[in-house]
Order: sequence, then structure tokens, then C-alpha cells
Amino acid sequence: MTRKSEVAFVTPRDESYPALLRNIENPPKKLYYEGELSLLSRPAVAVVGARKATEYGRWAAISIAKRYAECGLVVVSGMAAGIDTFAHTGALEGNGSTVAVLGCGIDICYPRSNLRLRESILQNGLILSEYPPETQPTRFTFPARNRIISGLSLATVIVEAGLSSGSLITAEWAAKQGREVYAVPGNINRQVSIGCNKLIYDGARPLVFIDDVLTDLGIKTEARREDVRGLSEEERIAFDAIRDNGELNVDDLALLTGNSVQKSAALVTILEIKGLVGYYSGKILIAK
Amino acid sequence: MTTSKVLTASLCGLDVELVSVETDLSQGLPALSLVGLPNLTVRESKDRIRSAITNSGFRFPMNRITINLSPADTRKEGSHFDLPMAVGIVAASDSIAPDVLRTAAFIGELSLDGSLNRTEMAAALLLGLREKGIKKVFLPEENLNDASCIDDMECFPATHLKQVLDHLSGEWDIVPILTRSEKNGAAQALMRTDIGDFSEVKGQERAKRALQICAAGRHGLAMYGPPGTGKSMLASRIPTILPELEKDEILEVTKLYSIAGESSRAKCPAAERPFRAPHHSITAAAMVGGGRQPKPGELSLAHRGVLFLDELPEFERRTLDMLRQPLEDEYIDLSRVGYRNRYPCRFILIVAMNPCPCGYYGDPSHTCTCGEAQRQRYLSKVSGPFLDRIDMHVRVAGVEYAALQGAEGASSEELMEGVLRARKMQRRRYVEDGGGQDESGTFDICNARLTPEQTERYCRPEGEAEELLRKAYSVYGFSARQGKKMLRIARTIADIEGSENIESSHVSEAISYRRPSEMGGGYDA
Repeated sequence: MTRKSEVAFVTPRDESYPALLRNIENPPKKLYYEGELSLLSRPAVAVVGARKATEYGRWAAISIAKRYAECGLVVVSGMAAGIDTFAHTGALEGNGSTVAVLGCGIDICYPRSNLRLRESILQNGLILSEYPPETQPTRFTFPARNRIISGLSLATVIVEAGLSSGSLITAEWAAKQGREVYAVPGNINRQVSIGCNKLIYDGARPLVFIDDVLTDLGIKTEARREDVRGLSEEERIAFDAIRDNGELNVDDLALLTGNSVQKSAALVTILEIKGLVGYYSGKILIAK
Repeated sequence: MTTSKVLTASLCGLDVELVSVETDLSQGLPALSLVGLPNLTVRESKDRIRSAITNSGFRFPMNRITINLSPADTRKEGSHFDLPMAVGIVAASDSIAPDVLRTAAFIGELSLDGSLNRTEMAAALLLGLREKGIKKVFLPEENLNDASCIDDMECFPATHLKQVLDHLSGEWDIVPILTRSEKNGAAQALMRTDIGDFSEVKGQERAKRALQICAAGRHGLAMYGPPGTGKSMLASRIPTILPELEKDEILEVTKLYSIAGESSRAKCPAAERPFRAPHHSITAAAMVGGGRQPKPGELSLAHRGVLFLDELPEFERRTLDMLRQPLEDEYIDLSRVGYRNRYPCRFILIVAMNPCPCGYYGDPSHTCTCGEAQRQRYLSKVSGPFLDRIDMHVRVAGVEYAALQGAEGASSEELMEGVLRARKMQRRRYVEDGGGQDESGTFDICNARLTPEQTERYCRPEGEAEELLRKAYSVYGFSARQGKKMLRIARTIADIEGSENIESSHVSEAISYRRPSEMGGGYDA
């Protein structure tokens, strides 16, 4: 356990205090940190969402964070369970950097299940908190830390949010701070998507393509279509079927393409190895 | 003549021991003492024998009677000692000592009125007697069927003690029946019809294919899916695509069922491969075998067949973890004070489970109501090392999806064709190599059981296939063990197609049966 005196912190008077955060209404007076502080000078995007995530949310959070990380953005999130965890995981998968802003002292790991994630983040990322070490998380500390998440970021992406989700508070802060808010649209019959859809109704930008944020921020994206050209005829047919139909399982794919199930399973593996598709809880989706 | 010697047999684990029942009549107060470590059932014989002999119209000797079960230092169990002991007493008193007593054995339980009752362990005893060179045996008529899997045995079936005694004194002739082991094709066909055909399971072609592979190479299979998608229905049909029992296998299975006292419930001799589906409330002892003198458990009763564990996380974790060693070794040692019994358990393991407590995690048409922690807790009931021992993993999707498709799927007959082809390929390959014989002398090596060295030798992908596997190692982060597992599955897939070479399509299909990430497997996205 680290002692209070040993934990590093920055104040708005310091050079290394993030510029974006200085501009917000009530910037934190002290930012305790552990890890790579220089990340705060790089462009960052927040990816946050509900603790109780669906499989779709998991896929979206991982894909979005991975993509942004690959394109050089720092992914900021809150290290909570659910979407936040997936956002950090996605960023790490994309070999990118990620920043976790906590609602408790930085020496406390909440939730406990994220102990391993915390360690991987610290390897070349950053963990921040405005609360002194040993501060326990309370229901008031989380909404307050949300202003730091949005404040550090050029844009905030809400992946999944119920009607009373804390991520809506983050969206509110982002809007107040004059940052762009993106919401991932979802089915209208799903509890966890209502918050997001309502944000869109209220004026947030729907995230129609993952790359929308990159385009809006003016970040150059490399074309990813190249791989498709190397496909054989039957691989291409299978790939198109997966792309056009969304959630499929091997049985469905076999019916759609007229191949046997064993052939279809084999094709999916090949496409998977080529990084074009992936299984998400039994369903084959385009990997992106 | 006041002594006699009658042959019978006693079970000791899987082995059968020849026992001679020695009877001596001497002067003294009328009494019957029984020595030679009889258990309670055997000790109670005394009273059955007395009534049975009297009620058969014979005189129960008013002497001091001593019966010794030799060898005297092993425990004797079972009600089949009634007949030899009764014959012994009558033979000692009435001086009937025909030559037949020297070469024939007796087994059977007596009723008080002297009629002969069926004994559960008959099949195992008869097999053991035959191995010891005894070719004549007197047995209850009801047990005649148990002998039908044994070659060249002269059986004297009787319904009553009087018939046996009269035969021995020459007043009556029991017509002996010479057994020939012949596979009863008609009986088998009859059994198969009540299981159901794979063509009745619609829209689950992927799962059926997985079952075909596991039947062909004896791989273990885990099925994950929401409730009501047909996991149990699929598993219960696997006997329809398994090859028939070999002759030696029939004997082995029959023996195990007979020792477990299940011979009447199962068809005896075993006509088809066992399919055991114990309920999840099963105790550890019932699963692996137990008792003071250990009897085979479900594991051994599934020997040469299939063990299906439905609702896997509902089983006690201790029970499941007890399966690990037997799964690896294919036998189980049950050690008790004074005993050590080794029972074989070589079966195909099929397990089924829901992906979460409510069952709908990842289902397109239902919302899963479980929290992540709740789901993890549910999954953690099954230990990782246990699932690791299962080769193949497949998800079974919801029925609504499948019901949309009216197309007739593969039937048992079509699937069986591939299974037989694969088994033939394996047999040829491994027998040619000089291996393939297990300790019981039965051929049973299969792709799923290849050692790492054998995998290296027989499962060698070439060219494109090797390239693919190499890539897969880095993409999925396979360990060496997982890689070998994939190769063995690919070997079976190639065998089903009758291909000696492992092509890239075989490897890539094999990879699709890896353990999914939501079930604690590695890479999955």
C-alpha cells in the first residue's frame, strides 16, 4: 500500500496539468496519478457506458476503443464494470494508450474484479483521480469524476446507457463543456439503449460508423478494405453474407450460402484468422 | 460318504475366483456352521437352504454340518451360493457323487419352496467360469440369456432345486444347451428404433456434425445453449451413430452391468453401446463407483458407450472434479481396506449446459436477465481444467431460428456412414503400426486418445494446412496442448472424409470447435 505522501499529483499551476481540463467550469484542484502522465497531452476520446452491458455493447465498446487506439487516440474511461471495462480492454487490444479516471482513491481498485485490468492499464497507461488515496467510493464521487472524463476528452462516446445511467451525466458534462457527444444507437426495445437513443433525440450525434469520430476530428484513417481483396470466391461469398445479415450463426450461414455446415465453419475460421470476422457469443459478426 | 465338494464362483472386483463349497457331515448336535468369510447374504443362505431342501422332498441331514467356502481367506458375496451349498449338503448325505460334480459349477439363488431364482451377477460369473476352464454349469433358467454371449458353454437350466438333484442322481434329465455367441442382429435393430433418428432434429446441423466427429474419433463434446434448443435431444440420439459393440466389448460391458447388479435393467448380454445420463443430483460415489466392496459407478457403466451430463453446472463440483483422473486414464481404481478394484471407464463424454443461470445469454430473441457477476459465479461451478479435458465445444442456437428452416437435415444413417469410414481408417492406421491393443486385448485406439508423440506422427498437416495452423497459433494464442487437440480433431475430420492427408479445410473446421471465450476459453473476437 502506497502512503499518501508518496502519491504523485499535479495542480492547475503545473505545466503538465492537462490544458483541456483547465478550461472547464470547476477543474479539480489536485489530480493524483499513477502511470504515464504525458498521455494527457495527446488527443483523447472518452468511451463510456452502462455497467450492465449486453453482448452488443461489449462488441461495440471493444471495437470502437480498439479502432480509436489504433488510430493514435487516447481512450479515456472510468474503469467501472461493463462498458468502461470493455473500452479499456479494446484500447489495450489495439495496442493503444488508455486513461482511467476513478471515483475513489487511486490506490483502491473498484470493482475488485478489475485488478488485472488495472495492472495492464498501468503498464503503459495512466490512472487518475481527484480524490486523495484511500478515499472510498461513494455515490457522490462517481458523478463528479464524470466531469473529468469528459473534460479530458475532445469527444465523448456513450455506448450503452439505460434511462438512469451515470453515463448520461457524463454526456451532460461534455455538452456543458462544449465537447461533442456521440451516442451508439440501439434497438428501441432494449432497456440499455433507451438512454442512448434519447441522447440522440436530444441532439447528440448518432455514431453511425465507428470512424465518424475520427472523421470529425480530422484524423487520417487508413483504409481497411484491402484484406477483402485477397479472399477466394467462396470466402468472399461467406464474408458478404455475414456483412449483409449481421448476427448469424454457423447454421444460418450454411443455409444462406448453400454450403455444408462443416464448410461454413471452416470458412469462418479462415476469415477470422484474416481478421475480418469474429465470434461474439456464438454469433459471427464483422470484426472492426 | 460324508463329505462333498461342489464348484461355484465368486466375484472379486472384475475378476472371478473359482470357489469350492466343501461340506462335511459329522456326528454331534444338529447344527450348520458356515466358514470361509461369507457376507451377510451368504450367511442367510443357511435358512433358505434348509427350507428349500425339505420342500423339494429331500431329507435335511440331522448332523453337525460344516460348510467351508474355499479359498477361505477371500470374502464371498451374493445369493448365488444357495444352489451349490444345497447340492453339497444333499451330495454329502445321500452319497450322490457323480463325476459331473467334479467338472460342473453351480450358481443360483433358492426360494424357500425350492425354486431357483435369477441372480444378477450371473453373466460375470459365467464369463469367469469359462475363463477358468469350466464348461458345464447348472443355473436358473431365467439366467440362460446371460450365457448367450459366451462361446461353447454347456448350460443346464433348471427352475427348481429338485430338477437339479434328480438330474444328479440320474432320475431326471436336464437337457443341456450349448451356447454359441452370436450377435443378435434382430434384437439390435429392434433396440435402435426406440431412440429416434437424427433427421428428427431440425436446423441443428452444426451440432449434429460435431456429434458425428465425436462419435468418429471418440472426442469429448460440450454443448452450450439456451434451454429448449434440443441439447438433450441431440445427445440422446448419439447411440444411433455409434458402431456396434465388438464381441469382446459385449463381454466386457455385460460383465460390468452384471457386477453392478444392473443386468436385468440393461439388456443382458449387452446388445448396444451404453448411454448413461445420470441426473445432476448424483453423489460422487454413485458416479465413480463405491460401496464397502466397491461396485462400478456410472462412469464404468458408460464404458464403451456414452456418458451424458446434462445441466453440467448443477452437478456437485466435487463430483465433477472426481472425473478428471478417470477421464485421463480411462479406468478408475477404487481402494478400500482389503480391496482394490480397478474398473474400466472408456466412454465418450458429452456435456450440456446453459451459458448463464437464466439461459439466454447471447440469445437473439430473449434478453438475458443475469448480471455479469452472477454469470461468472454460475460458470465457475465447472472448473476450467475439467472443460479443458473436453476436446470439442459447440454452441446450440435457439429453436425459433432453427424452426424457420424446414429443410430435412442429415439422418443417422448418413452420419453413421462417415463414422464407420473414420473408424475404419483409424483401425487400419493404428493396427498397421502394431499398436491399438489395450490391456483387455480389445482394439480401441482412436484419434482423441493419441499421445503427443503419436499426434506428431499421425496428424501432420502439410503445405497450406500447416501454414494455416501456424497462423492460428498466433491469432488465437493456442498453447501447444490446444494446438495438438485441434490437430487430433482435424485428423478425425479428415478420416470422416476418407482422406489420409490433413487438408487446410480440416484444420480450419477443427479450429471452429475451440472453447468459446464466454465459456472461459481464450481468444474469441
